[in-house]
Amino acid sequence: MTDIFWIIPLIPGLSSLILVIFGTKLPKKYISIQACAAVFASFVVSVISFIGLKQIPHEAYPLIKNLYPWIQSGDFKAALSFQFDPLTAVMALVVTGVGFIIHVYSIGYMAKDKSYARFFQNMNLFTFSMLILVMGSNLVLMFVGWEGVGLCSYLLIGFWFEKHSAANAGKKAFIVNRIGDAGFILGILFIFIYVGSVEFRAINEAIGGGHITQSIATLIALLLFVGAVGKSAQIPLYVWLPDAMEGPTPVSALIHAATMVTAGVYMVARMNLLYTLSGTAANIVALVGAITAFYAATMALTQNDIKRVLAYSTISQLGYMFIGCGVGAYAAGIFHLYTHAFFKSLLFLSAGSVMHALSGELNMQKMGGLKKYLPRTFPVFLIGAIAISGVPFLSGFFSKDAILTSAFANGNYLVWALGIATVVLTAFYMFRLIFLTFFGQERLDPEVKKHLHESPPVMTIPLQILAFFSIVAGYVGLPLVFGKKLNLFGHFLEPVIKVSHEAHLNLSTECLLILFSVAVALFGIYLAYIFYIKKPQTPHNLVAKFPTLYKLLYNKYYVDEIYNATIVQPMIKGSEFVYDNFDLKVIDGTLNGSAKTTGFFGKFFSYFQTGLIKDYALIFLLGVILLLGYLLF
Amino acid sequence: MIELFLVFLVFGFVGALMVVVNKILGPRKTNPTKEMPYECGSPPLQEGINPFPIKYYLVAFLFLLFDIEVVFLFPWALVFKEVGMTGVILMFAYIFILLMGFIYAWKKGAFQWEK
Amino acid sequence: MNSLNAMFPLLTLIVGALLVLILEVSIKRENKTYLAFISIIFLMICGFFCVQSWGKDFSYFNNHLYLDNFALFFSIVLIITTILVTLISMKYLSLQNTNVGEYYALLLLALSGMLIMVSSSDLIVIFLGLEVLSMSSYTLAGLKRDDQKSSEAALKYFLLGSFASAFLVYGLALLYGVSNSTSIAVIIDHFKTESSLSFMAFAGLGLVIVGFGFKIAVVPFHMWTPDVYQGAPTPITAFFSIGPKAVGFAVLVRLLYPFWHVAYDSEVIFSLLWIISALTMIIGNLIALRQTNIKRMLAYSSIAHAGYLMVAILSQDTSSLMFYFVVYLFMNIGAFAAVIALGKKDKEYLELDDYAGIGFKYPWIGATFAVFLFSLAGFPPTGGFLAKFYVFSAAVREGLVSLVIIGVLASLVSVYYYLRIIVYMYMREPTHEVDINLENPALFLVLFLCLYGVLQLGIFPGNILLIIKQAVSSIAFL
Repeated sequence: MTDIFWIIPLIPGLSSLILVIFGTKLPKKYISIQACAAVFASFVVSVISFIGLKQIPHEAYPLIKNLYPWIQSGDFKAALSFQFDPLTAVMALVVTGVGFIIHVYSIGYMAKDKSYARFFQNMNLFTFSMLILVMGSNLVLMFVGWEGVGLCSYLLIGFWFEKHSAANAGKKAFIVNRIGDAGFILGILFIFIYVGSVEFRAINEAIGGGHITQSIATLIALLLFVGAVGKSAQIPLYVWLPDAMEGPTPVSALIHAATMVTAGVYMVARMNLLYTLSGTAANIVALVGAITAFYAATMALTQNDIKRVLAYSTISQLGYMFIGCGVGAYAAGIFHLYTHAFFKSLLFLSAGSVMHALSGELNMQKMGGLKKYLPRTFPVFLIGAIAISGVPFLSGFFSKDAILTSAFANGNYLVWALGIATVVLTAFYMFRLIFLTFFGQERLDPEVKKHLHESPPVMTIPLQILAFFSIVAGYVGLPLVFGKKLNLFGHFLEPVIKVSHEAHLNLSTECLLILFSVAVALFGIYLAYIFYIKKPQTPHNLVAKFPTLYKLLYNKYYVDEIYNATIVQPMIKGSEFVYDNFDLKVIDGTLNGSAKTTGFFGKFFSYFQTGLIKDYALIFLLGVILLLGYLLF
Repeated sequence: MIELFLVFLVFGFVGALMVVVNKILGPRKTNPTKEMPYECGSPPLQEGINPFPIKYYLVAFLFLLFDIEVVFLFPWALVFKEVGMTGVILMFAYIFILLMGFIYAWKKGAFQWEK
Repeated sequence: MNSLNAMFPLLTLIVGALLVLILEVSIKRENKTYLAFISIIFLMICGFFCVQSWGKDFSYFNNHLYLDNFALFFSIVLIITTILVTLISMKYLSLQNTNVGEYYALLLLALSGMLIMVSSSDLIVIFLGLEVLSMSSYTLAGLKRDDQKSSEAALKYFLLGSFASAFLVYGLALLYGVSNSTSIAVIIDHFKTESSLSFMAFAGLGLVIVGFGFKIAVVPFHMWTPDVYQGAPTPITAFFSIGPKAVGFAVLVRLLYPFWHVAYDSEVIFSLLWIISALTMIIGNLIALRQTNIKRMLAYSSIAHAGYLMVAILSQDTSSLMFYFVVYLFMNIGAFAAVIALGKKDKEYLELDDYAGIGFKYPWIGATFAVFLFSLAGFPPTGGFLAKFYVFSAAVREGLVSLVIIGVLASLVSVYYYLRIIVYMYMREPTHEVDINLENPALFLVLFLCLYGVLQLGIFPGNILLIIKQAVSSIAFL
């Protein structure tokens, strides 16, 4: 039963193809059933393959299914082949499992949209690409998936392309991602040059066999990391993710929280030998992750748009995952990826449910007191917020804690400190969100209030399922305090991620660390409580006291403006200059000139095409004479 | 050798040149009278090229084909003993193909002089 | 292995042709479409025999007929071509009032001639096949008897074809005079023993190249192409643009491939072919720029493609040549099928103006045609891109950089006239009414198959490359 894994990606791909061709002619009901069933079928196959995988010995990992010799050009070979190992299994389960729940949720959320078929077709295409990304057994196939999810992301962010801002956001995401992709392609090329193959197995063998020097490993690792920075929205390429919230909320949940943005983390974990070999690159990864985590959290503090808060929180959480990978705790990074998928998609979908209830209202300052109107959304939202804040015994606590402990154990105190600071901020902004939305006095528009209603079951049931997993998902990876055997998750990933030099702390230190981070998280929540429930005027006082800081945070450090002024505008100016002086004059001039010349020669040669057979024979004969003359003399 | 090639080239090119130069330099003013076929100075009575009965050619063609058949039979007869059974089969295949052609021609009405 | 099996594909075709001929005179005119199905059945049987013989090296007639994988590969390509051509002809013939059964019989006979050519390495046998092919081709070109252009095409093709055949025979005679044999292997062996090639050998080789150069339509032996392609019935034009070219190149491979390695003075022949290739790419593309008739434009485009194929011959990379042919088969037949689709009773739309607005009026035809044109121009992800890529990269490996530069520039020029059709189809307002007969399932099947072929080869070329590898490794030089 283990060798059927290769059909996992193909099912949603096929479904998407059917929707592309017949989508407009099919009834909505059929479309939603087919799209969801396809993802569910993939999920079932993933589960079967996962069970099969656990039964075979570790030496047989990874399972490889070679479907087709895709590109063969000289020494360069890239096969259409899929692989299945623990890391892939985790990713496939997350993508199809969470993906399925979000698909079901979308049935309710998108029910009234006129481009229903296009939505599900893109969602299925996305699932297909993401599965290609995580299942490809070589970097080139992975890159195909990588670009595929980028394309779907573009299509889905700009799903409501009639809206100018949505179209622009789609464009921005695509272009910023391309910057990262350039680095990724260069990384692949360097790997091909130094390893001679793009298959993961061969790369790992080459690294294991010591065929790669440390400096080259650093170079390649950093280039690949540039790609990861783009896709996973880290500093300095994070700017596209907040804007991506222009897309429908299920898209934000699936693509910009649970799956696509984690592709960078997956890639780093997949290439863990490379990053382990190059200490420098790993340190940079950890540092970028830590700075991003802290920096994005500060921006989340002041946002009023409910989805943007979640977007910055996603960036911040992705930073945590990179901290995990950077300090060598790849399993912890992937573990956080896995728990994050549940609670972050839960948060997004709940936010979507709130929006749905409020006829699309996004501004938290215009909410408040919704607790009694949304009796099913509120508890699940709360669970999500608690989980992400790192309160004990929910999933987020275990994974975040594993990362921070590893960072501390590895002596990366700066990274650890930033991580802890981020915990406070995370707890604070999440509960700020909760308090502003569900507690306090009502600040709703009267028009909105008239239509206020709880979402239908097709939306709330997926929320409850996700909430359930947000609570329990963490128990597969308990920290060391509870005994070494209980970290099932880490053990499962061991065949892929060689735990070689992970430093270990003694138990008391670890206990202390855990207690400290819990205390810090609770402090954040308490702070939010004081700010927004007990003394609601505090924020205003603070703003009055530190107007510059508030403005800086509220305007997201002016990064968009800085990028616009330093990169975008000069580029546009420069390209206009080049267009005016070089394109129009030199290129067009040459082109028109050469077009005229070719046209002239075309005319000249067609002059001989008289249509008279005697002329043809004559030219034929001349040809023979010249040819023989050339040969004989 | 090179001289020979030059001669070769010169002759070839002069010939070609004459044709081409003629076309380039020659004035091409036409009028309907000039376009008319020349029939000893008197206006032509009908179009220059008319369809004409092709039956004669058809019969000649068919005669040629079936005549060749016999020609091929002679050498075959001479080496008949050496080539043996294979030869017989091949010759029959050959005649069979011709026979098919004959039937085709017959059915098509190629042998009907008057229709 | 000496076995009668080697004869089966040929016998099938001849029996099929005879059967179609006999049925032609005995059934009613309306029922003649059935003949197409009969000939397709025979073509499939023939293809089946070819597939069966893969890797078995059957031979007959003292190895004068030798079915190595190379021959079988080209045979299968040609059989597929003929099947597709038969399919696109069915409706066309009744619409254009050319519904004669001989058409299918002649196609089968032409195919049998081509099979003889690709599966022999004796120049006389090859010549025999060439004549079988040519005679059928001349007739096919003139099959629209009421159409002046068609008759003109047939006559031109016949006269110039005989002209070329004469040169070919002359060349064969000279080669025989040098080496006392017509077998390619013996001739090459003879060259091996000489320190430099004699006058006669050069002249013989040169004239043989002239003869085949005519068939594959390279400059300066290309003059017949546009007129014949324009005048002949459109499916036949599609057939001409692939069949004779494929066999011409197959024979050139058999003749020249061993020649490069053994003979002295091969650089002279090499540089000669270099010049021919460059000229063909340049002139073919340049004149194509000025054409407004689609068939004529495709004729020049096929000349240009012969130039690219010559590059493959020169870089001695047979596998890229074969891959190019497979792709070329699908994209060119596809393009011609799209041209045929734009027709109705007694009327074909062949001028560029007719294509204005077609892309929106007939979206399927427009879109597939656009894909074929992109492929012909060599855009990824179509097969045309990979085919050009393989040919040119092989040439660069062999150090033919300047030729590749010419080729790339020439194909740059070609983009203009291919895209011009697409511009007309999608960006011009129609100037006059174009209504076409859409009840043509066989044609749409072909459009679909070709589309599939072009995309499959462009995106997943792996399998076919493996087959080609097998075929190349088995070329027998007898």
